[in-house]
Amino acid sequence: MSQSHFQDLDLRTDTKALLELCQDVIQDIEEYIKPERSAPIKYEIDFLWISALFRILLKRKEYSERALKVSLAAIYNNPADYSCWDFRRQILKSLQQCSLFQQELEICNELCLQNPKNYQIWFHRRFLCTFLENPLQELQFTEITLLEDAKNYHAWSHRQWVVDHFQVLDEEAFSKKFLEMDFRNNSAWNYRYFTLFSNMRTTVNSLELRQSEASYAWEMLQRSFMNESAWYYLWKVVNDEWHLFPSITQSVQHLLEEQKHNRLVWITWFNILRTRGEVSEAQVICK
Amino acid sequence: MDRFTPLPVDLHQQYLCKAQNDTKSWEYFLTAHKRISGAYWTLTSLDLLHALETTDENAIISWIFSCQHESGGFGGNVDQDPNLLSTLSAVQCLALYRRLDELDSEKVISYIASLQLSDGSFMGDVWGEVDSRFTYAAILCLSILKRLDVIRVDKAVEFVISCLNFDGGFGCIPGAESHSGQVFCCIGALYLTDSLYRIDQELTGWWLAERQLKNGGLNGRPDKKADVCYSWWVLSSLAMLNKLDWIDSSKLIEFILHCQDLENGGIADYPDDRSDVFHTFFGLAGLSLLGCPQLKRIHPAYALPLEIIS
Repeated sequence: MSQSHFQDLDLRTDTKALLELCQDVIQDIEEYIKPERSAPIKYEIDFLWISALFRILLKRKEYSERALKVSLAAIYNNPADYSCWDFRRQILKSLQQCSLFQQELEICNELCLQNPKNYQIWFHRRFLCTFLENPLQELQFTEITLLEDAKNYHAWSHRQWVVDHFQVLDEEAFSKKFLEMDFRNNSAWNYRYFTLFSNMRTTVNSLELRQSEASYAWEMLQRSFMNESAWYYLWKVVNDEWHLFPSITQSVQHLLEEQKHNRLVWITWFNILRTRGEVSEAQVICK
Repeated sequence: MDRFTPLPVDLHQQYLCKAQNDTKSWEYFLTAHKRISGAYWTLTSLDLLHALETTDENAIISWIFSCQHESGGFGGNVDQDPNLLSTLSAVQCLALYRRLDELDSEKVISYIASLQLSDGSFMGDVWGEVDSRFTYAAILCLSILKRLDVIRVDKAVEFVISCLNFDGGFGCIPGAESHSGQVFCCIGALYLTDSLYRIDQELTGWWLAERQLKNGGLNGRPDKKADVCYSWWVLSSLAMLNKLDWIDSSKLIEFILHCQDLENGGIADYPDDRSDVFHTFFGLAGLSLLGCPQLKRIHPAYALPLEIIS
């Protein structure tokens, strides 16, 4: 990072400097370092001092520069500390400086990549995002995270939140890219449905779109008929109107023999019969 | 033949007591901010093992109350800000000890009601994060306190329904991917408000049943690994839908038993991994739902022993 930072990252590990910064409140510290809180291993004692300092400032509701420095050290020690993220939000709201928000985002990036399943960090991003109004950065960041772990629930739902909040369009290629990497990726199938069909995205539920998406799902199923997610997607796109998708319906029927042990194929056929009103035939399948 | 063997209940009890008292461990230090949920998992597990009386009830209750704020909400520990999930854990712990009458329920109720938004959803705390988990936490807490009347139940239900996906599952917010944990929260919320009739229970039941893998374990989403915590979330959802027989219970029992640490006690997320209190609770809760005779019966929606609810 190039410019000098208000939030001095070097102080993260410099416990002595942080203690010196908080000389005036140090007398309270003993209360926080009680025997039963002593860490088992010597080098972790620093973590306790940082944690104690943070709690002192938190209790005093001190929304200051040094509070940012101390809580930064505390958050690197324990990124799951809920109250620490809360405290930083209080400080940011109180100081209201744009540069601080941007720096906070960079800190968030680093911690998020190290702790990709941490709820607090993702929510913190959302908070920053509403101030910074930076959808492109968020889309880029979620993509980086997903390239590391293509099924990270937080990353996908954050991306969905960004897309919805900022009315981002043209996300069709994104889900396709991830489905090319893994055609069983349930998150990518869900995202595809969300970006193409959900109420927020389009008022036009055109037959043309449904037919092309049904063909796409069918094409993916060719790679494996055991692909749960692709079947769910197909069912929803068809939405019980199998008569509008005659060629796929016929293909399902042809599959029955070859895939006789595949529940997903039989359930599909059962639903086709049911929607045709061929109830007695459908009942045979139930056995 | 008893299919619930081996299940060394004494060893698990020892594990849980040790974890409670292991205040010098690194893990203990790192989980300080959510201690109250840890307490709920530990205490409920001990109760399922018929061992709640081995805990220091008065000390624990006193500590729980010290986590309460002016607003009525509870934080994760004494120096933590209040939030909905911690409030639920606090109320559940008090219910376990049958000491709910010591709670100023009006304050708690008004705290919970204050977190409901105009679209019926609930925030987790004043910072505004919305997630269907919080709807479940609010509804469950108010159900325990028998005060569902203080919120807009109809709107809360509408929000839950809006989280329903094309595959029959539920996500954390409308449109988000179906996930077993979220399905549990949504089904729980619908169950407690008598609103299950609003969904296609066959479709949801089917999605849940498909979570069972060849090794008998249950996963959270299609094409993911099994994890013991889903033994609770998927199973209790199926129980609430009256479809517990839609999964192979013998295979699931086998899977959960394989996740035990037969030397040190406790249950892990997966066979041969390290056990933790979280997975110990969910493993035991799953076994309880499956009828394990050595454990108390647990309620699928309240996630508390049945005898407490009746």
